[in-house]
Amino acid sequence: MTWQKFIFDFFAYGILFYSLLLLLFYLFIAIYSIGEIRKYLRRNSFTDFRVLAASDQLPGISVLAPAYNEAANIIENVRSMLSIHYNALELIIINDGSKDDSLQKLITAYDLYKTNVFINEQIATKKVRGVYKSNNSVFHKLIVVDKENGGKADALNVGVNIARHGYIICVDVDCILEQDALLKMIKPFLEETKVRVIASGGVIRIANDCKIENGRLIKINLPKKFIPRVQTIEYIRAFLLGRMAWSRLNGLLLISGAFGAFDKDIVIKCGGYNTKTVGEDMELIVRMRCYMEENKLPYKVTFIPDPLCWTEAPANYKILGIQRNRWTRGTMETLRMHKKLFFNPRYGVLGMISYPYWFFFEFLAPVIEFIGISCFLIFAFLGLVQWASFFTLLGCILSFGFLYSVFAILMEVLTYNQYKDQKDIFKLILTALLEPFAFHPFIVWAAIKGNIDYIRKKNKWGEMTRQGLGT
Amino acid sequence: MQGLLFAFFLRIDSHRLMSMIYLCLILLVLLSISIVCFTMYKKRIESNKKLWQQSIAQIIGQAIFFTDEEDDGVNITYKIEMLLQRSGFRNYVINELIEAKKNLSGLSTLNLKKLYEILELDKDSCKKLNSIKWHIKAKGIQELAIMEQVKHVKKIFKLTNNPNELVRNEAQCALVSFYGFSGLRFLNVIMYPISQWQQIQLLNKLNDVIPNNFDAVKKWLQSANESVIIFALKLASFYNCNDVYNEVINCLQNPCLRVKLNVLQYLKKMPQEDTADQLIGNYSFENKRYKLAIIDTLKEIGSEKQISFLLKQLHHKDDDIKAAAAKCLSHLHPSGTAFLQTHLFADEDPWKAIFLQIKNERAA
Repeated sequence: MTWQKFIFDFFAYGILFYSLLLLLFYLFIAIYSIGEIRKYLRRNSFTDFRVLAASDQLPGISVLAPAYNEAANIIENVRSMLSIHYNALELIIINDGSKDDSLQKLITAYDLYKTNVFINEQIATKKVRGVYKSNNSVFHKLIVVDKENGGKADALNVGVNIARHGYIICVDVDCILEQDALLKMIKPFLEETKVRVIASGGVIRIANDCKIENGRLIKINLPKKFIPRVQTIEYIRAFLLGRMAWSRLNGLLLISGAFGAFDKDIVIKCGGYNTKTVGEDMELIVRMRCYMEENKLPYKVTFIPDPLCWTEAPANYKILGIQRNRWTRGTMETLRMHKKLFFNPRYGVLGMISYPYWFFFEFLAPVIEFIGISCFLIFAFLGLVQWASFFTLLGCILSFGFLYSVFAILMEVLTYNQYKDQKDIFKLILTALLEPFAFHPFIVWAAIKGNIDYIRKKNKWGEMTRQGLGT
Repeated sequence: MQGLLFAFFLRIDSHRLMSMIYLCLILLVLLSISIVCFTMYKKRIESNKKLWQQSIAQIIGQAIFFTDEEDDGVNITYKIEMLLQRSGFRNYVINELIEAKKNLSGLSTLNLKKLYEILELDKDSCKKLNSIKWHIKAKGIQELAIMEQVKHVKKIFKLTNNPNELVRNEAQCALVSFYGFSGLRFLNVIMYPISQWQQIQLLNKLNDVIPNNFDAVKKWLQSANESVIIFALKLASFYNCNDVYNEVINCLQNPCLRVKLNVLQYLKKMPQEDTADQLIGNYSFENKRYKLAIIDTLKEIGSEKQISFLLKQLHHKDDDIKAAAAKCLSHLHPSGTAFLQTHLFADEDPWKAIFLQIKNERAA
């Protein structure tokens, strides 16, 4: 065996083995998620959330929404959140040292006055400049906190310190929530009798091109542009299949920072959000799970498949690249911070399945893909590639990926069927077909850049300029 | 090298890979056909519903305005009669009747019930009740409950202890819908925990119900099932029930924190002369959440007698307890917030910040 052949075989079979394992995992996730979605839909099909919304027996919820330079839409966004159906609601907007006039706009629009509030700093944060409440009793649920800039995690920690209620829901201020979103999010916490639900995640859907009036979603439309439309498929795949399967396994490692509910008590005991990572959402869940495992407390992290939160997805490659670069760095930072979990049986599913899966198939996947492509190019240059076999293998992978996306679309049709027009479904299928060529390579490249930035210790959040949802 | 020599490693060769591509393509075609079929099916259901809506609105409209004289005067046309042979249509009618019944009150709801019986839709619900599938069974129970089909109560009562949570919950709600407070008799025998969500649902159904006596609550307060105790405490608070005070106070000895917190909720509403002292007696052994709840209760039910205790708490190492004690003092002390300003550490943090907040809140 020559050294060339050895290297060639090592890469070829190594990548083949890795790919097969990844495909098997995807297959498992797709099949395993069906049961969980079906169970959820059956359980909730005849719950009358409308009747319960007014109940004074429901526990209080504090909604925490950090805002940084959101002046363009903040008034409408706050109005939208204040109109959510929930009796014992407290909405805390945390102005994270915005450089624009967000705070002034809020003060004027909601008739705010500065009040003295004692903040028990159970989690250390940057300095709070002031807490504002409204003179108008209509907005009695609203609290606006003005603080020095410290990043999203720090802003959320201020919110946790100020929150009066036992359950907190962290949302991005630019998200549009469905009217019954909080009721549906709180339900898993109240339903469970055997174990403690420490966190619950909700589905994020793409709101680009949807009709939004006065902060409310009026009509759901499929994004017209290609990039947000591919993300629509990505999100359906990730939320409807991936997270539901992980939730069933009780191995969910990530609850999106854009919309997640938490048991405040456990959040405080764990020390709140970590300000040293850009993946603060994932890191908190991992730390909360570690805390429960280490203290041998039975727990669960649940997930709601209902489309409850709508957000604007990046519409161009530049912003998308910044977002994916940050996600990669966040994953790497979290995995590094909790490396003790790696195949550690002490942590059960978390240590033996969730963490290794994230390590091998979320963090390493783009790296291996990149190495694979690079090796392929070298082997092709050296004339070592059997083209017929290569195209067979490529066809295999592409057809499986396409199959997985189409399956996700079928699940969407069978469950929530948000895009009712057949033309939209056709467009989604077509987009899924184009994804591996026009979208996926860019995502891999963004992840590689994330890896490079991580090694270079660049830990900036990145400017996420958005067009803004219609008002 | 022959090809990629797949057989050497995983016995995968190009032919097998081609078979996999074919398999994926076949599955793709099948999935795509399924998507088209399901979209069309859903559309057909939607258009059917639109077609049916008019007929149903007509008969529901007639039913709502029934009078005693024309008790079964619904005009069921031949078309509706034909449609009623279809289970999909019957299910749709049931759902529409349920929706209408939820939105109406008084005589109209009785008329809707009558219509449900005239159309023999109870047979459909009953069939669901007998189903072995839990979600269908639960749906059947819900339909029978909303349509007040009390004749099925025996069957439903047995299901209040069903191992399936949803079936159990629906059966419990059905009993409360049928008999109000006395429908809660399943609490005597229930073996499974009642979730907080279910407790909220049950209390919601008891909103307009006034019970005759609370003897049963006394029994439930001593139940071996912790969730029954919690629910009984909620009932006692909900109905401002004074008769069970002693049993409630005994629950303070229960090791479960949630039981104790619910006791405090009750005591806030139904205090007696010695309640505040009893709470202080319980204070030193418990955790922070309970301590905060006790201080919060004292704010509502305490008197000047508790001031010395609260002054001690004002120097507790935990700032939340300091804040709660200060808030309570501002309520109980005859000088109100002015008293806080006279405190030795009034100009020092964290007391300064705490006192300022209280002053602000009281002024607002």
